Amino acid sequence: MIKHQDDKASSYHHDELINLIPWYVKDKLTANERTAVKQHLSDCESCRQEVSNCQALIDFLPKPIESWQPSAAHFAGILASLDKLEANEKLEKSTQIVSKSGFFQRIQQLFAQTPRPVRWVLMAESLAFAALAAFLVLPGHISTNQIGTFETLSTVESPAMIKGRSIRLVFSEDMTTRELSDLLRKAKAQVRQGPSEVGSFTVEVALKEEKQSLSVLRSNPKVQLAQPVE
Amino acid sequence: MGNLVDETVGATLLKRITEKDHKAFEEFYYLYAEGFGRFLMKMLKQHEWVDEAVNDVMLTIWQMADRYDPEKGRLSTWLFGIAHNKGLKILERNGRCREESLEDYDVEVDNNEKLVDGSYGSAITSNSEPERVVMGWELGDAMSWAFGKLSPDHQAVIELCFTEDFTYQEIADIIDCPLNTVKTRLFHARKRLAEMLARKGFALSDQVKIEV
Repeated sequence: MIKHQDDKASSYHHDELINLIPWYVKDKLTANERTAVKQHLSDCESCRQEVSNCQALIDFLPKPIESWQPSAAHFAGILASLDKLEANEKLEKSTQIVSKSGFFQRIQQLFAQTPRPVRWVLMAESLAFAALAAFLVLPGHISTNQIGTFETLSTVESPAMIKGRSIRLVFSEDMTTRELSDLLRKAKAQVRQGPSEVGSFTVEVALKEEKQSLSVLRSNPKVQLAQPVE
Repeated sequence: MGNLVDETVGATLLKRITEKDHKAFEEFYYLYAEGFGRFLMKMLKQHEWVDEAVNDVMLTIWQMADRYDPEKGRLSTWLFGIAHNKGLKILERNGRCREESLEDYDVEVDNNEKLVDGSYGSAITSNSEPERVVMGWELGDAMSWAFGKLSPDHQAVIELCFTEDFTYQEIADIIDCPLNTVKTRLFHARKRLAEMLARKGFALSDQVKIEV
């Protein structure tokens, strides 16, 4: 490692070796370093001087005026600091748990505290509720159109909104409600008014169905009058 | 310090401390605190500061006992590293600068030679001539004065090498700096010490007063 080879190297090595002298004096060098320093000392007066200086330094280094000794009182103080430190750490941890735990963590904690049977019942209820919600919300359920399966008078496609020909009808007195309903369905007619004071009804049929509807209505024996209204 | 204490005993106690064993913590305190407390006493020079620093070191050991790795170095090196760090923090907090400039040092030395120094008042006269200044001083007195004038960093490397018997590698670990910095820092510390002693009329190599 450190070798003493020529004058140039010697000058370079001197700087390196002089820095090792304190540990040479204290016998804290590796075997190679120790040999290198020892060899160098035989040639170098200033390094020999440095060895003397270091040995004197060891002998005359000042001793502390006041010594420090461990004591029961001091250790009691350390334990008090330790208690304080641990109390602070616990407080910090609990604060972190509260701040870190979001909604789901709180639910989890609550869930863990719940008895197992109650937990399963709650879980089943939650699943049923979720399935019902999905059934109502998700597209593709039994509703076949945007409006639903029912029809209202305000529905655009409702027969009530048909703009067609009005026909005035007079039925015989023995015409039942059921027969009237069947006849109107068959004639594709929709009641608009009636019965009037004289017992007549006004129905409406689609323009393109007018002839067909009139034919159906007039062919019924209980229809006494079927007359288009202008 | 640690050189006198069986490292395996300390390592065993440290392992128990990682398991939060208070009894082991107490044993560790009585086994090791005196050693690094002595080092801190030289570094800080005030009893209450050393109390505080030892307290901080012990709390760090309690919290970080699991960080000690025997393969990376001796237990005493690890402990002195923590102690040195705590000591520096207390010095910095109390306004002690770590590095003294050579100019400050020269001015201080000159002033000491011109003025009567309180601590050495009986030995120093108003005359600036070295032989008068050192009148009545022993080398030990001059050494105490000169050592006290060194920066904390220079004092630390001298103590760690000559009193605590650490290798330069261990000192580098303790003060957390490169190897060459340790070597050159100790060289400059010795040089400054020798210069200050020479101003007081002493030479270390002779161990006698220089007659000017």
